Amino acid sequence: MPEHFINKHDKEQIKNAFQAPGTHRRQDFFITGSIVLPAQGRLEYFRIQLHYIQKRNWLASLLLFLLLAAFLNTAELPSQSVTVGAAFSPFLMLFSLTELLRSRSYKMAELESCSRYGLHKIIITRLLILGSLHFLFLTALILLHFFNTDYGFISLCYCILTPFLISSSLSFFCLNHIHKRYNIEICGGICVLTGAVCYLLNSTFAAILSEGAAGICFVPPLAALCFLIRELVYLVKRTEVLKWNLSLTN
Amino acid sequence: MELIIDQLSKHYGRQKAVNNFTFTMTNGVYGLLGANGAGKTTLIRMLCGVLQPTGGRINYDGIPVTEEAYRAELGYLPQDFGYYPDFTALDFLLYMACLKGLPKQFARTRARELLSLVSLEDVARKRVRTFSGGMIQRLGIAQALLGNPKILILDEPTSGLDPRERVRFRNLIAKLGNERIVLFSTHIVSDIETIAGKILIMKNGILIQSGSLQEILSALDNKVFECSVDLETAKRLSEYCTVISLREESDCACLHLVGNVPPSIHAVPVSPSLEDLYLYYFYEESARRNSKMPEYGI
Repeated sequence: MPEHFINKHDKEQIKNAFQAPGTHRRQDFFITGSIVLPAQGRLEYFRIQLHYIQKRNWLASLLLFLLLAAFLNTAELPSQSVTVGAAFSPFLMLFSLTELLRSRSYKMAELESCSRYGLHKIIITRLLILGSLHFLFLTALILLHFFNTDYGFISLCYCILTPFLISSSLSFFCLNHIHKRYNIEICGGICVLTGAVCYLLNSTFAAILSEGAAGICFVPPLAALCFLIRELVYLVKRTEVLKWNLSLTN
Repeated sequence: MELIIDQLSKHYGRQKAVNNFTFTMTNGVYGLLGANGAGKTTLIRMLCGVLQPTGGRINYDGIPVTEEAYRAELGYLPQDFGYYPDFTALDFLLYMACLKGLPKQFARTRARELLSLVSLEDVARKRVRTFSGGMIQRLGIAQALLGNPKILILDEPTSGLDPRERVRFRNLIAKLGNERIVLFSTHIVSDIETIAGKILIMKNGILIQSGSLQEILSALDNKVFECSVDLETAKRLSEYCTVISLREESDCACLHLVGNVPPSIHAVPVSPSLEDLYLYYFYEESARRNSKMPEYGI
């Protein structure tokens, strides 16, 4: 729009909105009592943290979901679609791990630790957000297959959740106990390996997935779930004590 | 407002990074001085709650360091801090404001004001990864001030700043110290000399001296000398004494040195500076040699 079409008053308002405040406010920084800081609600904190999760995580998860949904229509056999979906579910965890490692990777952990919420609360918030994303993704994947294949609900849960839980628990174990520079690559290897093994097992022993054998089948995912919870608790506790600082100080 | 540090210690195995550090701080600017490895950063990290002490306690008006209420009152600039590379300067401040518990609208206003305060308003929308070292340091200072902290802890804040910014920053710290506790560590003796109301000197994890500039310099009364000697004597003296400066002239040398005894009968005692004190405490080899030197030996 040509300049002369803008109302002078509007122009002034736009200018003010984009200008840093004048010098008279600068003096306020030196007087403690003059600035009353409004408190931020927990919900607002959660909402803002949601905004700071990297966009690539949301996009990669969405892309993975769309690919798996598309494969459901193109697969010749329903079991093929389920086994492929199961094999790829660990990669969802891999996207999230990059988010959890972000503070450490970019040396932000120290600043985040001494902020009001502390690093452990930030990690818990990120875990909650990413956990919710995983829950939605996996539920949608299970429901999609449930309505489009002959698999029972329990069998589907078993097929899709087992590789996810095993790779998650092993990845968190690696993150907590193996302090290597190439942690994310190691976790990538775990995801590929778990996906491949589960694909082979699901393809080979399709019969075991019948509802009758569910009791035996559910031992590995339950064990993995318990292990995952243990590792998550350990991760949060570790961020409280911040043993990483030892290496920095040395 | 009192920040009480009581018998604070941090041990790494047998190594005592900080050992029984006890001090009470009230409003004002405190300068923490010490050589590399003296334990300054370890102490600062414990004060910020990012490092767990081996022993002792830290309290701010009865609030322990581990509480959220303590961290809400804290502004911290680490010696070496990172940033998410995709953040602009404004994004970085907004992110830190979120972690400090400031609502979004308020944070936006405050972030813009602080960027203006540290002369970064023109690059508010530029990515931090394109910034120079000095600009990153200024951004770090801005984030430390976001929550209007009552305790401001700055680890080597002036490193990487050019002389003009250093002066600006020194003035800023001096003003901030009127209403809050400001603790800053540095190797730059002149920074401490100019703005610190009280100086804390650490050596091998121990607080060896504290007080105002005049108080701590009194330890060096009659221990700083100047003398003009021939070049041969100057060479011999520099082996025995802590020579702070040596200025060679045509056939003689003017020495400024620290020692327990006058190095020569011609030596004149002069008023000590903080740099003299620093060298007196941290020039260990010389000090050891100095103790072997006979009184009026030359």
